[in-house]
Amino acid sequence: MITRISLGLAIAAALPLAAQAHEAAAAATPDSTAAAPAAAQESLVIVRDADTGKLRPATAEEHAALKALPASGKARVALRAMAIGPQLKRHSSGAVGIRVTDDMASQSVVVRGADGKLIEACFASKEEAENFMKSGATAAKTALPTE
Amino acid sequence: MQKTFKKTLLRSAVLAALCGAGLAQAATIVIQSRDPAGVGFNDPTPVAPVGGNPGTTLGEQRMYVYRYVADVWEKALDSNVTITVNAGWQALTCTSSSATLGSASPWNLWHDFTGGDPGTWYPQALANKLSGVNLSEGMPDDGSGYAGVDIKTQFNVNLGQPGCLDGSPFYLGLDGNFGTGVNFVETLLHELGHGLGFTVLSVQTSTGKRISADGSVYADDGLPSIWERYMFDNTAGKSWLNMTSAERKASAINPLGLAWTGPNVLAGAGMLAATPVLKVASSAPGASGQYPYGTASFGPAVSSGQGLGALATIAAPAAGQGQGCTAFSAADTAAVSGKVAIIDRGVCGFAVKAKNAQNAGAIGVIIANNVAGAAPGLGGSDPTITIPTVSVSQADGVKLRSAITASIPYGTRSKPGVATGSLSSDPSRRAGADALGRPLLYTPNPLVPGSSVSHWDVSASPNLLMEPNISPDLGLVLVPPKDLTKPLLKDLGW
Repeated sequence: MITRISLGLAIAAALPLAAQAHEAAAAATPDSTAAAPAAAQESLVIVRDADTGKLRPATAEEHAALKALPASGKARVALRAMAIGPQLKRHSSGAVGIRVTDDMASQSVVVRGADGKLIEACFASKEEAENFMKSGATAAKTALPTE
Repeated sequence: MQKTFKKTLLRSAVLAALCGAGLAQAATIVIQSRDPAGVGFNDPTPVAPVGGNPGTTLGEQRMYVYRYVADVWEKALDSNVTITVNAGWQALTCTSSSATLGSASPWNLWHDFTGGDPGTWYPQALANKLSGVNLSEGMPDDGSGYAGVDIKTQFNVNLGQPGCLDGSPFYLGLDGNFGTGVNFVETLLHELGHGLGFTVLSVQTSTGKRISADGSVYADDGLPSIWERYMFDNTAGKSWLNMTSAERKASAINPLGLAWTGPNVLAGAGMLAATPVLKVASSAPGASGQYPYGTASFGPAVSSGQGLGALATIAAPAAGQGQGCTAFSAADTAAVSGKVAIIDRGVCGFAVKAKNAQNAGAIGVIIANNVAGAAPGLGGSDPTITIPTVSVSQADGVKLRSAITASIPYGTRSKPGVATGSLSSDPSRRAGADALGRPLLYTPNPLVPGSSVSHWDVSASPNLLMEPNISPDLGLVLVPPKDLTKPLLKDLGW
């Protein structure tokens, strides 16, 4: 179990991009993250299985081990495991690559306006897209200010 | 379950023959489905062929559109390395009146490969093209199951169902007759554009920081993306390549201030329409001029060449009141009767102001913005409004009023001089471009939600595929005089 948790932590340590993305979201919506139940955070922890090498959700034992960590360390692990982070790649030519995360994908969303018309818009991140949908906002040309 | 959809051997043979003949080669795009049996591309629900899509199941029609759009991109691009697009249909965020349609991104980034600029992040499909090899080939799977793909995409499998933009599913026809549905062709065309590299890629615009060389962190000393090479901020007078993180952060929210300077885009930027302008004529020296204007969603449509009439002002409102928000006083009525009333924005609706002016005998209305920025589009509705209404910026509103005042002495005692407005266009300025004709990137201020930097500005005309909003009048042509997507990708190295 200790080995598995260590591997999980190793993954987390390699994922600061994902962590930063989440921390930025936390800064924008402090209430939602500050009040997030611990269980909800832990359910998002992903570890790399020691036997198969595959990523998978943490087991109950691994959750328990995580709980034993100091609060700061626990939060850091949970935050960094919010998404599978960049994976470093090296090509024989010397080229260096990373695999990105879904959080870094552009998102197309649609909102039905008060007049029934659909407003479609594209955002650079999931966070921006969801904020747009929640606000029913008016980024598109077709949704003009009225005063 | 993974399925791979490939072009026929015949097609490969044709491509090989073309290469052998020394002709330009297109690209090959493989669509790799990750949907399980019965879901997404494998949904067996019977459907009738629609809008040129011959599929007879929902899954077949979805794949037909994917293939159709991939074919558009194949013809637009050149690469000797196959581009792999991983695709899946999933349950994404929904409410009855809103939904995430889908998402896409370059799934791997590379720097310091043969054929690329050193120390610069590139999307994998472009890095492969420039290096001539598949940089991810042979890499062990990283646990994701699709680590080596060039572009990962996912679209909303529930769209149109109860609780997920009820009644407005993806329209899977190819003819643009999407009615109350969502045009999947254009949505996918747009998102694949991002996946191919139409994105700032590795810069976190909220901080201006870049992904570090080892991919571990966003940092002040991270590597630039190839996208940054052609971003020039007219306020800072700097390219993004020469900015600090703080400067990039500020530039990303500098409305109408960030231009694209790539040579291929500049060569095609003449396709952007001449900027519509309000032309003011006056006998007073220095009082004539041309001012960009915005249009209204109410009242009669306006067009270039249309005369408006003599301009007039009304009294400033009482404290806390909005100008033009109530029935005009006798003095204001006398001032605007038979003339075009200039009214400041604020407090009440644009249509309310226009209607009050119309009731006072005005023959037109010019709304002057009450905050800095461009002339706003004027929303609202009132079918009883019959006079034209346009808008100008706050600064130009001041100039118009000055022109009215300056014109008065240039008449007679019984007929004071006037400044007269008409609508025209200025071919020296392009809609969606800066003063030098360089197309602008979308950089909304913090109060306007939007995806900054990785799209064209919404002021572009005609509408462009890679604006943040998917306009209903887009087509499949990616080059001027219809669009600037291909030239921009070419600037990046495509």
